[in-house]
Amino acid sequence: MIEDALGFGAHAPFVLAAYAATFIVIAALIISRRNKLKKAQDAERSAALRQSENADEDRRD
Amino acid sequence: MFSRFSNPARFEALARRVGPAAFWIFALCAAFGLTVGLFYSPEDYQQGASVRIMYVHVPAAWMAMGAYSFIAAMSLIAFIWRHSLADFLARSAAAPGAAFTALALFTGAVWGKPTWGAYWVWDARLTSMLVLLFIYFGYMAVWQSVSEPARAARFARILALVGFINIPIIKFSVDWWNSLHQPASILRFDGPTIHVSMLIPLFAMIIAYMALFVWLVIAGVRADLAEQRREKQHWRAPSRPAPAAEQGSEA
Repeated sequence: MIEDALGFGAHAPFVLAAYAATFIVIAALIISRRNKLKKAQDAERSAALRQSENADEDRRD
Repeated sequence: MFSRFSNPARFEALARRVGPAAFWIFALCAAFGLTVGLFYSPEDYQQGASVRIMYVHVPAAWMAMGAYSFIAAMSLIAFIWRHSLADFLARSAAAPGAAFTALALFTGAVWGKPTWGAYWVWDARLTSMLVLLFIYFGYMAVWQSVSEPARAARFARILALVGFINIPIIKFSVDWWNSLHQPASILRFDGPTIHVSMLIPLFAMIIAYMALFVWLVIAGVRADLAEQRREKQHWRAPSRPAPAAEQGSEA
C-alpha cells in the first residue's frame, strides 16, 4: 500500500529504509551534540557560580 | 591564520556566529534536497525509484571521507604548530565522521540489494569504506582509553595521519580494481555524467551534510572548551576546608 502511495514501486522498502536510517542518525547526532554542549556549559556556569560564592564567603570571613 | 583562530576566545566568538548559520543552512538545504530528491527528481531508466537513495548515500560517503581528511589535516596542524584547538577540532569530527561512514555503508547496502542483488560484496570500494569505519573506531578509542590528554592527543594524531592512506584508496578503488561499484560520476575531468535534474537536489544534500558537519564540530569544540575552562576554574579555586557540620557527619 505504501509503495502505491509514494509511487516508488517495489523499491519502496529500500528507499524508505535508507531515508529512515538517515533521519535517525542525523537526529541522534544533533541531539547528542546539543546535550553535550548544554551539559558542559551548565557545569561551567555552576562551577563559576560556586567559585564566586566561595569568594564572597571568603571576603565576609 | 591558524594562530589567529587557535585563540579559544576568538574561536568561541566566531563559533557563536557560524554555528547557528550552519544549522540553518543545513535545515533549509536538507528540506529542499529531501523534498526534491524524494518526490520531484526523475527515476533512473535502469534503477527505477531506488536511485533516490543516492541523495542520502553520496553525501554521507563524501562526508565520511571529508571528515577523515579534516581530522588528518587538523592532526598535522596540531603536530606542527602544537595548537590544542586543532586537536579539539579533530576529536569533535570523529563521531560525526564515523556516523556518516556507517550511514554510507548502510544506505549503500540497501541500494545494492535492488541494484546488484546483494546487500554486501567484498568489493574494493565497500571494503575500504568498512576499513575507514574501523579506523574511526580506533581513533575514538585512543581518545577514550589513554588517560593523559597529551599522550592521547599524540597517539590520536599518529593514528589519524597513518589512517589517511585509506582515503585515496577509497577514492581510486573503483579505478584500480574491478568493482561492482560505479566509477566517479560527479568529480570527473569531463564533467558530471548525471542529469542536472538529479544534480541540483544532490548538491543541496551535499551542502546540507557539510553544514551539519560544521555545526556538529563547532558544538563539540565549544563543549570541550567549556569543559577545559571548568577544569581550569577548579584547579585555580583555593581549596576551602569543609564546613564543621560536614566534617562531623563524615567522621
